[in-house]
Amino acid sequence: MPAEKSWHLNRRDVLRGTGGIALGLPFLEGMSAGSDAKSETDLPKRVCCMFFPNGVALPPESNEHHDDWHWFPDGEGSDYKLNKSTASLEKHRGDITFLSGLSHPTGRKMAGHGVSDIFLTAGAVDPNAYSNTVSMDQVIADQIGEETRLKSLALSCGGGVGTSGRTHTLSFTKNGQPIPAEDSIRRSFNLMFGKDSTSLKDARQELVLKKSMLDRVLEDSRSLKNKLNSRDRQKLDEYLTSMRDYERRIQRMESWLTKPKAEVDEASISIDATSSTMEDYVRATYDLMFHAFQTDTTRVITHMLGIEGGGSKTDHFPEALGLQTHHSLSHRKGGDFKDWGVWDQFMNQNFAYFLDRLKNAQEGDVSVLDRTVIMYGCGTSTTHLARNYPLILAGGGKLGISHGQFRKFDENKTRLSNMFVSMMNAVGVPTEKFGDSTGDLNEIFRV
Amino acid sequence: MTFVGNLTVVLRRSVLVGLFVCQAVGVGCAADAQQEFFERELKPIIAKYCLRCHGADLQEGDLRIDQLNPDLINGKDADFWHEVLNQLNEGEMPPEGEPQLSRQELTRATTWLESELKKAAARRNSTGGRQLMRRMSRYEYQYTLEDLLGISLDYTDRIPGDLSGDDGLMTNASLLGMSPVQMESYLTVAEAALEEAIPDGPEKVFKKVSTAISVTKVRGQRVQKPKKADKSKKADKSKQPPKPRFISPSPGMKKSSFVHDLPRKVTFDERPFAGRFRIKVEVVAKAASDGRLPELMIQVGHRASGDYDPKKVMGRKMLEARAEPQTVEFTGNIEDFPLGKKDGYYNGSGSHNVTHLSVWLWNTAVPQADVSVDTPIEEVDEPLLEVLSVGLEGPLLEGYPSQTAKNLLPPSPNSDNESAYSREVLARFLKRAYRREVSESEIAQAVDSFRTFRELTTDFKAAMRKTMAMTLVSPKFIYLIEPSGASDTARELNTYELATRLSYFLWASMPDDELLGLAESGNLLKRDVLVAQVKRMRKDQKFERFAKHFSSQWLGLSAIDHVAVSPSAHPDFSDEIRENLKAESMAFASHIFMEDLSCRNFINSDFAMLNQVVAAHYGIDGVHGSHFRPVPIASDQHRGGVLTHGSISIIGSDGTDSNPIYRGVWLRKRLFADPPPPPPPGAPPLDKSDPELSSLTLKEQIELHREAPACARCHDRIDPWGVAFENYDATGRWRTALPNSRKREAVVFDATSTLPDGTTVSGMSELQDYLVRNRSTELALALSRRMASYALGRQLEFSDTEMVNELAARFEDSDYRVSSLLEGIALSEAFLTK
Repeated sequence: MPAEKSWHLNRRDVLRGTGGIALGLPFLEGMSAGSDAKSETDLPKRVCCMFFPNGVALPPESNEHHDDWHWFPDGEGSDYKLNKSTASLEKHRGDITFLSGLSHPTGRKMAGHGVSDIFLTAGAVDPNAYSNTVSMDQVIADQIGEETRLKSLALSCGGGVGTSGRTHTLSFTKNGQPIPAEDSIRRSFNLMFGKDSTSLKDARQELVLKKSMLDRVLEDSRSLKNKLNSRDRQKLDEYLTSMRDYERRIQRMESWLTKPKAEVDEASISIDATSSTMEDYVRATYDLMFHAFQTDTTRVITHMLGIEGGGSKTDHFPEALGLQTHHSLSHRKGGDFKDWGVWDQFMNQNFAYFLDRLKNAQEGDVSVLDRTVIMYGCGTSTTHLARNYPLILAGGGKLGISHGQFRKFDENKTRLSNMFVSMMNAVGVPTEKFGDSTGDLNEIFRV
Repeated sequence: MTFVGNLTVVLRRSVLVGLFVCQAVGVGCAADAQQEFFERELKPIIAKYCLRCHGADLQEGDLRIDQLNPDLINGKDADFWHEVLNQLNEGEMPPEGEPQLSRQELTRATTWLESELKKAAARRNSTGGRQLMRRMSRYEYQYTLEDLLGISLDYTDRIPGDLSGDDGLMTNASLLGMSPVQMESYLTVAEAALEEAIPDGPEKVFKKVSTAISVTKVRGQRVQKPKKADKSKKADKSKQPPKPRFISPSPGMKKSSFVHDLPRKVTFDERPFAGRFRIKVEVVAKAASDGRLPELMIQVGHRASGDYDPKKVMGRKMLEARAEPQTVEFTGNIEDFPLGKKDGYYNGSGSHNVTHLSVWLWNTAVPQADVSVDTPIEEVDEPLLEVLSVGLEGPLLEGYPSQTAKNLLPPSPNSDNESAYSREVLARFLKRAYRREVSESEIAQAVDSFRTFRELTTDFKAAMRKTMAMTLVSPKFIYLIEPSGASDTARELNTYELATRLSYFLWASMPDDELLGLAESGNLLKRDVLVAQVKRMRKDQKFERFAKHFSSQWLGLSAIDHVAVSPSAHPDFSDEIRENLKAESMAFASHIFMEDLSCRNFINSDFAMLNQVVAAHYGIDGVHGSHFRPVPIASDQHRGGVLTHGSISIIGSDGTDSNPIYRGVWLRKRLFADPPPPPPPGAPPLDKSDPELSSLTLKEQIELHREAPACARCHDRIDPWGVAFENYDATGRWRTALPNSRKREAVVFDATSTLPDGTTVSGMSELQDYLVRNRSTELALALSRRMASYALGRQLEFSDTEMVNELAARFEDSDYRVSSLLEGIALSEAFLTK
């Protein structure tokens, strides 16, 4: 290879050089797929969007639990105070921003639980209309996903797609179709880091055949077009788009076939944790995301930490801490906000753990966190009320985000989708408008 | 095609026609009436309460109401009106200190807004009363593969689930979307199914018998050992206690506390890796003194490591009591069980070496008594099982692959001429897969594909599987296509299209050879032939698919999986009971549909479909075995009709206690097809922790919340239905009162309720009588609507009103038999037209 720079390393060499101990290798410059040499500015930019259901404890000021358990901090700007529920985030003050007042205007008219469907799409989901629009992460993945083994990764403690109004996934395709999210730690791990059981030759042969099959089906399907009326043609178009996208995925798989998967020690993660071992499981999802980013296996992740409303398996998560189900906690009004606050605290501690790991992983001169834009939040504040989303923006310090404040917004002036626009620009996806956006959030995102 | 209409019947229903119009997409004359209503009723209210701040002089929040378009359906301001509705419902507007709407004014305004918004939403989804090209649903894809390829494995869990609408129906073409992930899953499943149908060759056959039977327990199971009476015998502890010979019934599979009811386990280190296999159990069965019989249940899977449950039920059988050993056989497919592949990989994992197969054996008879841990097994008066040996055999080659699968590559005079043979095979396959005549060029293309794959794979069967897999991901297969050219005018279906619609309606799958034959001859368009086919198809075993899926969607049974039943409030409840309660409702619907009984039985029946688990849960004696069968019900048993099903009780609960609001909503949405509007954002929940409320019974609490006019408007028409269910607890057990306990004061459950029309019922049985006597016509209309919508694959619209009325009339005249409804739908113009 001509003029190979000294830092352009082969992953295997690195492994050997460290006696095979280094596992979950950080992304190093020059090791990205299909590139010969890259400058510092080509270090990956990443985005991660996380959602939790059912709102947060917001005891009114008159309530005895206000000071301890009110999710939003006390104060404003850089002069804000965290409480018991958010204390774990104190050490990340310089890497996070609390946001209040933001929401999706279309969601304000919906029954609160349904807002999870549009959390990342800002679309208008009428319970009777069943249509959604593309989610922000997928627009980003289309632009920056080509560089990595997985264009994007959709995780969810619920798994699958769920139903309209009770989504189990945050990610939606260009057609507004839900993308099934993975809830198994083992399956996700295998997808990204697992050893394949088929030989390279067989795998390549399979892909060649698949491409040939799909080409032929596509060719044959086009002839249908002029036999259909306009409504049916829309249906066929949806099919053709899906088929073409799938074909592209096959092509990608082919180009990644010869490149070894990143090595991550299976023992470093609770690989068989499931929702019945809640604490291990939630942590394992964060470990998965960390490894996915650090090894540059993907740059775009969505993660649904729980499903809205009652009755789902994630609704039982708080029971592992001796609390009521999440939905019952969220309906507890009256005096006692404490249990709900304890749950919020647990969630924030896990989020802080994720930030810790990203912060402690270096790439070049900065941390992985510095180049990862993270949004963490929910589509309702108090139960059933889809306004004033509790939101934390984290990371991306080297992508132009200035942190350290509690920012309050006026919902009549600023929409959540405005922040999406800024997030997209920050990770290198030039965007003027997303969904119902009316501008950007450049007061936080220095351009 | 029209009906010989029964004029009197139609007239009798004229009042209800009006009711129906109100729910359908109101356009044309209905719209004028609505605008007139707006001018007369709403405008004055708005002028009186809103315009001071949202009018010409002042526009608080940038909203000017007098310039909003009052036509919600065709105008562009529906979203603003929605906000107005929310503000009114939440009591936010008019703000405090301003004059407030009277209760009547509030009702008038919000009712109108709600009904108009509903219509606007329906209008947005409208397909103009026409069928769209429809994708097969996930379960239809599975059934079609079964019928086309003769396969028996279930592939549905490899395909993403489908969305259902508010009505629960899963055949709605608008909702059945497509995504790249979906594409991928179709191709994966198509290839796997073809591997099953056209296997490469017989594998090595395994045949083993094992007597190494160990006592085991499942994860989470706590086992109490018999207490040692004499502590000085501690020294004997090192001695292994004798293995209990007999398995006694386990009280709930998970939380056994008695060493004798633990399952037994046998592990085979060598086993087949694909295809059908058989487990043979040699067992001695003993009855209890009252004649109750043991039931053998076996699970197959692999040894657990980590925190998941790699085993699955293979079968269960109730055994006759016999002194000598008897042999019980179960057969299944290796691929259906959580087992590793040949190379030891499980789920693509690199670390799990799973080449063994384990069998767990249980006695799943329902125990009658709480047996103390210390009772010697000889003294336990329960049905008992003793397992002597377990055999494993497979793959089984007889009858596998199935005849249908073998016919994919049939013997032929052309067998020696590959080019002629492949053409013959593909021509037949394409015709069945596309459910129509195929053109010469379509066949030629397929043959060409085959040749390409033949060169790439150098194997005839592999190339054939690839070619067929292509067909199975083609839109010509996945969608029910009815080409209409560029013109958008309605046309009659051709015979093949009709055969296809009919078979997806009644069998959730492709037409069989007889239907395709009638399509080819053109005879299917003859009315008497069509009627005869509907009858034949209804009597076919495949009609069970309709019974299962339609009833589950119509009654919303999948919701039962979303309710977490509280273990502290209902310690006896288990997932096994939950599964059986769901199965009860489906078995009940199947029985009514398959036997063509009156659908009034859904409201009230003198029988229940029970098995031993459900009967035990309901406290009904004398039902043994796990199969469902009709059992006569006396009035003091409080069963009969779907309203008394445990499944419905659970759906209408929060998992701890009954919730009359949920139950009321369920009844209106499912039985009357008249869902109440969703709660407005910000609607406060019933707050049980509120000290003022906690001293009241739930019924009193609900009555209290209805005192708020904003709540009462909807809840007056929801809650009374649900209160009548109050004698059924959160899991569907009958209850009348709870005695004093440490935790709570005594409660008497009062199911007396005054229904929206003023009728008072004393509880479930009077509610059932009332519904049958006074509401049959509405219930018939609602079921007709749902079933027509299911069959047509679209929401119904204003233009369908007449069809639904005719269907319901027919249905009523036939004493509510499903046969008349199916026939009516199949003969309707909408069904016969693209």
